[in-house]
Amino acid sequence: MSLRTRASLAATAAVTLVLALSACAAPGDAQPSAASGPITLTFWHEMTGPAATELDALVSQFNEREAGAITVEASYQGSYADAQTKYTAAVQSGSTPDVLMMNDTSTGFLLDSKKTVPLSSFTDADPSFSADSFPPIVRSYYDDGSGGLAAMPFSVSQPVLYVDRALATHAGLNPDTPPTTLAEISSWAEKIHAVTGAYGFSMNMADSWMLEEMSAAGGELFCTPDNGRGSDRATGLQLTSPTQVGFMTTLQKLFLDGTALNPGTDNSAMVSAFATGKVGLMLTSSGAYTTADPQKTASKVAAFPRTSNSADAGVVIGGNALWISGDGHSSAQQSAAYAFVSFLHSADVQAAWANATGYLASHTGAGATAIGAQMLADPNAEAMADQLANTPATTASAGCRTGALPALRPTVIGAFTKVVEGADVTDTMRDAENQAAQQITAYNQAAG
Amino acid sequence: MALAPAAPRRRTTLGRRVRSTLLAAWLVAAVVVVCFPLYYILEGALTPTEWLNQGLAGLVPVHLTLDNIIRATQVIPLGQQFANSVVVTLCQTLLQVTIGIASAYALVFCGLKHTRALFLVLLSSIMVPAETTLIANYLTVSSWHLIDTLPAVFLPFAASALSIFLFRQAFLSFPGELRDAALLDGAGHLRFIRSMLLPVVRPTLISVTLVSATAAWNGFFWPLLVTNSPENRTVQVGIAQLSNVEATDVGVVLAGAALVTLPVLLVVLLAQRFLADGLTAGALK
Repeated sequence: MSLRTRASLAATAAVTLVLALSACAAPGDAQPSAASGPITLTFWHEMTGPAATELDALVSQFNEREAGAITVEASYQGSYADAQTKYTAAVQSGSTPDVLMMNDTSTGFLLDSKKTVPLSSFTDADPSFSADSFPPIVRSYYDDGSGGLAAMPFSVSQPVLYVDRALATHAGLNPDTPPTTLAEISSWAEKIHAVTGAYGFSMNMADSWMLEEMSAAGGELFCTPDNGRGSDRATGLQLTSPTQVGFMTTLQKLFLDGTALNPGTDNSAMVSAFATGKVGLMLTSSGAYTTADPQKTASKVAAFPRTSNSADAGVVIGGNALWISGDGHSSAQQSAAYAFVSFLHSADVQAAWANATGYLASHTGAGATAIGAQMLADPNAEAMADQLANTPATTASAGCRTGALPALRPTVIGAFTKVVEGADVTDTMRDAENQAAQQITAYNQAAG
Repeated sequence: MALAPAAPRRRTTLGRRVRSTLLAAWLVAAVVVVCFPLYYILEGALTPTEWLNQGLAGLVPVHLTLDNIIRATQVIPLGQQFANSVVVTLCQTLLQVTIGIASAYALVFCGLKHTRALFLVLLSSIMVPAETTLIANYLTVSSWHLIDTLPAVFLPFAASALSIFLFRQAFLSFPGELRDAALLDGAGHLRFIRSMLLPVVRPTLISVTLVSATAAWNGFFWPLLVTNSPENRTVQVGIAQLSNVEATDVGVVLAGAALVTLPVLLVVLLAQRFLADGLTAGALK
C-alpha cells in the first residue's frame, strides 16, 4: 500500500474513532428556559383512535385560549409500557416531557421514581382549587399520603355489569332489576345459558384487574399491608381470603360447566361477542360501553356486583392521570404545566372528554354542563356516573399501590387461568401469592 | 392374455389421479390458510366496521367503501409518514448492503490476518438482545442531538452483522480462478466487485436486500423511541395510534394495516422474479 493511501486510511480511522468516542461524553444538563416569555410544553400521551382525536382538539383549544403565552405540543408515545420505557430513557438523558400521561397501575412506579412534582404543591397555593371537584374515590386513589393529590386525575373508568336485555328477557329475567351480588349473577348466568343456549357470563381476563375489583368489591385488600397505601411499601398480595376463595370458586364453576365464555387475553373479542348478542352478562370496564352497545338500548348497565356484605366494599378506578415533571423544568414551565392540567380537569372539558371517549368524568360538576346533562339522559351513563360518585373511599376501594403491579398482574391471571380449568383454588392462589411476594421484594430492592 | 397387462395400467392411472387430487387439495388448503389473513386485511380495509362486526357475514366483499382509509388519514399524517418510511427503508437498506459488501469483501479477498477472530466478534454482536442496548443507544443518539429527526431512525442500523455474514458466506464460495484472472487483468477492487462478484452472488444480494428492506420497513419500537412529532415518524408508529383497546374501529385499523403491508408485498413479489432469474445466472460456464 502506498504511503498516501496508508496515511489517508489512518486519518479516516482516527476521525471515526473521535466521532465514536464523542458519544461517551456526559450528556449536558438541560438548561431551564427563561422565566418570562412564551412557554412551550411537551405533553406525552398514549391515546389512540377517537380518544386521540379528542385530545388533539382539547390541546388546540387550550393553545388558542392561551394565545401564544403557553403552547402545548402533544405527542403520542405508544402503549403505557412503551411510554414508561421512553420516560426512563428520557430521565437519564435529561429530556423528560413537561406533562406525562400515565395509567393508573404505574402510579407506584412514578411515585418511587421521584421525578415528578406532586400536584398538592401547586394546589395548596391555588385558591381556585377545590378538592370537592373530584369524586371521593378518585381523590383517594391518587392520594399522595398527606391528604393532597400526587397527580391530576384525567381519565377515569370503573368496572360495571352489562346485561343483554334480549337474552335476559328471553330467559324470564327482568333486566331492569339487575343482579347486585356475584351469587345472583351466577344464577342469572346459569338461567340464561340453560334457556337461550348463549353464554351466560363473561369477564375481562387479559390480566388480574377483574380479580382486584372483585376483592375490593368484597372489602378485601389486594396488597398487604394496607394495600400499599400506609407508611410502608406493599410487600405481598392477598389472594386466599375466604371472600376471595369464595368468588373464585363461583367463577370456576361457571367456566367449568360452559356457562361462561373465557376470552383469554382478547377483550375486544369478548366485547364484540356481547355486542352481537352471544353473551348474557359481562363484567368489564365502563370504557367498553360504546363498543358493547353502540345503540345504547340493547344493554342495561348496572353497578359492579358485591362479593361480600362488607361496609368497605367499593370498586377501584382505572384510567390515567397527568404528572408534572420536576427535574430540569423551570418553575415557570411547571406552573404552565399546572395551568394546562387544570384546564383538562375543568367541568366542561371533562364532560367533552367523557362524551368522546367513554371514560367517566372526573369532575363532579361535569354532569351539570350541557354536554354532561345530555350524556346523563342515557340511563346507562347515569348508572355509571352514580356508581363513581357513590363509591365509598375506603382502603379496599383505593386499590393496590405498588410499582410492581404491572409485573404482578400476569402472575395472578396465570394462576387464575389454571383455576378456571379446574385446579384447586386455594393451592393455586397460594402459589401465586408466594411468586408475587418474590416479585415485589425484587422491585422494592431495585427501587431502593 | 390382453386382460392381465391392462389391469395394472388402470390401477396405476387411478393411483396417480388420486395422488394428484390429494396433492391439489392439500395445496388449495395451504393457499387458503396463507392467503386468508391477507384477504381479510384487504377486504376489511374496504368494508365499513359495522359489517365487519357481524362476524362471518363481514367477509363477503359487497359493501366496499374508501371511508376507512380516509378516516385513517385524518387521525395521523399518513402521507408524510409513508414518505418517511420510504426514506428510512431506502437509506437503511442501502447502508446495510453497501457496508455488508465492503466488510465481507475485506474479510474474504484482502488477505488480512485474523479474519476469523474479527468475524466471530461480528457474529457475537447478533447474540446481544436489542432490549439490552435500547436505552444506551437512546442516550447516544440524544447526546448527538438527533432525537426527533429522521436520521436517528436508521443511523444506528447502518451496519448489519447479518448482512456481513451472508455476504461473507457467498463470497467464500466464489471461484478462486475468476479472482486470479481478474487480478491478472489488472481489475481494481471496485471493478472486480461490480463486474464479476455481484453478478455471481446475485441471489444473496437480492435476499439480503429483501431482508434489510423488510426489517427497516417494519421497525416500530426504535422509531417510537427516538421520534416525537407525528411528521417525523414512520408509518408503523402512525398506524399504532389507530387501534384503541376498548373502542376498536376495526375497519380503520385494517385500513392502516393494509396500507403498511402492500408495499412490502409488492417488493417481495418483484424481487421473487429477480431471485428466480439469479439462481441460473451465476452458473460457471
